Amino acid sequence: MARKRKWAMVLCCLCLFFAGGCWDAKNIEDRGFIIGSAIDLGDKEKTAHGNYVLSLTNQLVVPEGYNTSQQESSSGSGSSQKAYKNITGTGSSVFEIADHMDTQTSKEPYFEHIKVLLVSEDVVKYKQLFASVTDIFVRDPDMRRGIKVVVTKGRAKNYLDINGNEGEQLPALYINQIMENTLESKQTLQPVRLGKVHQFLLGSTSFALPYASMTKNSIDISGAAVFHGFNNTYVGDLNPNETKGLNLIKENAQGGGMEFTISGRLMSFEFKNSNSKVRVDTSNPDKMNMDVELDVEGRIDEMYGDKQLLNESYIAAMEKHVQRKIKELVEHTINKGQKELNADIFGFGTYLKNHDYKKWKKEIQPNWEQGKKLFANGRVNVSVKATLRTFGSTDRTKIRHD
Amino acid sequence: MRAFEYSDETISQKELLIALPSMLVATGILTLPKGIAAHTISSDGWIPLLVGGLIVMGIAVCMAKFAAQFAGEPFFSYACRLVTKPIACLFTIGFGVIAMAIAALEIRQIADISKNYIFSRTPVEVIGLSFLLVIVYAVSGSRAGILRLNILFFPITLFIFIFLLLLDIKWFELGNLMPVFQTDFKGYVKAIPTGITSYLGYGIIWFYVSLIQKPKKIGRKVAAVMCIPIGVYLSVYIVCIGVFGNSVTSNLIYPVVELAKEAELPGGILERFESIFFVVWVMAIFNTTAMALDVAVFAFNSLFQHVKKPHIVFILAPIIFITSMTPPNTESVRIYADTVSYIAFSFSLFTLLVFATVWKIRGGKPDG
Repeated sequence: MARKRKWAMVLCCLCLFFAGGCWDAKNIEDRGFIIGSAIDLGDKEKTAHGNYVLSLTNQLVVPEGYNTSQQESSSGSGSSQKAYKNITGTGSSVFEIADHMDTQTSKEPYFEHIKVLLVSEDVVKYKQLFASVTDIFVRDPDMRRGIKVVVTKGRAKNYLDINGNEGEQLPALYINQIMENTLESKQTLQPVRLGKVHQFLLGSTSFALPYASMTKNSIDISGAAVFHGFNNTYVGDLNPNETKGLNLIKENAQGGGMEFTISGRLMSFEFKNSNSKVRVDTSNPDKMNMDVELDVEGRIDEMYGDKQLLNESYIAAMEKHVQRKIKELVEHTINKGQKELNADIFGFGTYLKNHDYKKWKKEIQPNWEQGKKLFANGRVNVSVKATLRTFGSTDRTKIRHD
Repeated sequence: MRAFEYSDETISQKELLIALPSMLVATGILTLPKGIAAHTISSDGWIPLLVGGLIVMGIAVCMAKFAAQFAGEPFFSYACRLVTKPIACLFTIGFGVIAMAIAALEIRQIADISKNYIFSRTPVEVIGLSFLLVIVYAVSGSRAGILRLNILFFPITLFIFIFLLLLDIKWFELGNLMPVFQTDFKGYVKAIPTGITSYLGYGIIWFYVSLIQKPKKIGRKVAAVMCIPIGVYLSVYIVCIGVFGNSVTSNLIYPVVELAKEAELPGGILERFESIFFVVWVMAIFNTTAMALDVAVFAFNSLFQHVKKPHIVFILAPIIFITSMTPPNTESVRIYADTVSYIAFSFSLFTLLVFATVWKIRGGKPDG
């Protein structure tokens, strides 16, 4: 009995080795939290093996440099250390670069909290390269599918050094914040999460990603980078205005506005609610009729004229102007999508797929953007119905001069 | 050390009714949407899942009704009366081996998933072993205790599950479910076996019904509880498709774990919901594995009645461990899982058919 008990004790002690934590115990101070990554092309174009040379920049948080109190940062008595550190490496695969990066920092890179992934325009321009560089971000079990993906004008690396001077000391979080707050603007695409990108890359529908540009020390995330779905290759951009058109067709969200002139006076209309319907008529298979129906509600936000707003015939006239303006914009955007980009990012294909799946798979899809280019040859009809709901808190703000 | 012997090893009907869904909802669900989505278009996968569920439900009800006629009598003993002792031995060994294979599968899968998402440096073998040791501890004790543990754990599992689905509604897109009913007949035919075999483990009915003293209306009640796994599977599948879309779902290795990773409590209170999900999930897998090992022990114990139960556990555990660590990679684990599921399903069905036929030929009463 006593011997048995002794053995039981030994066994219990041995068990402590298993119970007292595990292989993966890692102190939080030793982890280097990466909050943003940027992918660029390297200096040389290709390696000897014909692979592209990539350059990856990871932004690590340096908690010691993070000033929480305003005083410290303004007086300058604190360290001049930045709250982040960017590490750049070059190589032919993201993993290889990241692997090599371990040697450049005292902390172990930790990707669980990465927020934004910036991919330079130069990278996406090469066939299939965008899909390839994002692969590791989807595949790695540490990464999250909520990472926001942005295509940048110029070198993506520079964006991770931006200083917004708005109190946010970490550029990656600053960019993340901008994207979360621009939901109201129609000129910016809704943030696209990595999970969505994965879906785009696996699907055959063309898609658009947010596009960022930079001037000196400020960043502007408006516009969109358009990709072909069938080969995941970048085809061109939409400017901020066209992005607004795209948003009007695709998103039923509110926010954003547009200017219009009525009898020579400038006015601003704000979208409060917009609803869109896309429909395609395939009765003429070579020249399909593609309808967009928009139902927009909104209010007048600003007027430069001095006319009385609250007047039924004037309201009707304003609505007509808004309608024409929206129609022009949407038509222009679709036209660009058809003629210049030949990419159906508007959901016409999705409509066909949902309504006549067999026909879409067999006949239409192979000839939609490729082959007979049915999408580009389609005839587009846009009909807009705009309703002015409210006019702000006042009728006029100035006396009439005429 | 002397094992404490419980005075009674009987359970109430309620315990079996909870044990059944608890057994079925296990690791299978983590990979299930992938297999179904691969053969169907957009959200049509719910049809094979439902059909498979109903088929399994029918079989489970027949099994329960049949076994209930011999209430209080262990599987081996009534099998002996029906189909002579040697054949009954074969059936019992078959069930024992299948139960061991299921236990090995669960251990490997929980170890793989834990390694993939939580312990990137801990060897799979160590994760699997520590899990198995806890299982061994549980199974060495009282059988009724394991079954009662289900009543404690299963509601928590279900709750976390529903919570997870609710959190993911934020990313749910109705457009991903479109177009509906476009899968052709061939696709359904391919997907239905996956649908059927995803309900793995209802074979426990053969063994546990005998522990119930007085089964009442067991057929109807088994049908009712079988709705729980069917409901869970369907809702998980639809949410997976709604969040990821068909193409991504059929490519993700563990779609449900990815769902858990997507879930975030609003306001950044809890960014890593999957940590909670994993904890609860391990509880669910624990129940399933413990029951699988217990059934194996039950089966072999009825063959070698003079061997003590803990000894059988200690003999089976190393075999299970070695089996579970044999497949070299995740793809071979998947093939192993498929094979085990097919064999388990056909063996249960086969047993039912043989027993029922013999029963009829011998002029037994029709069930009731």
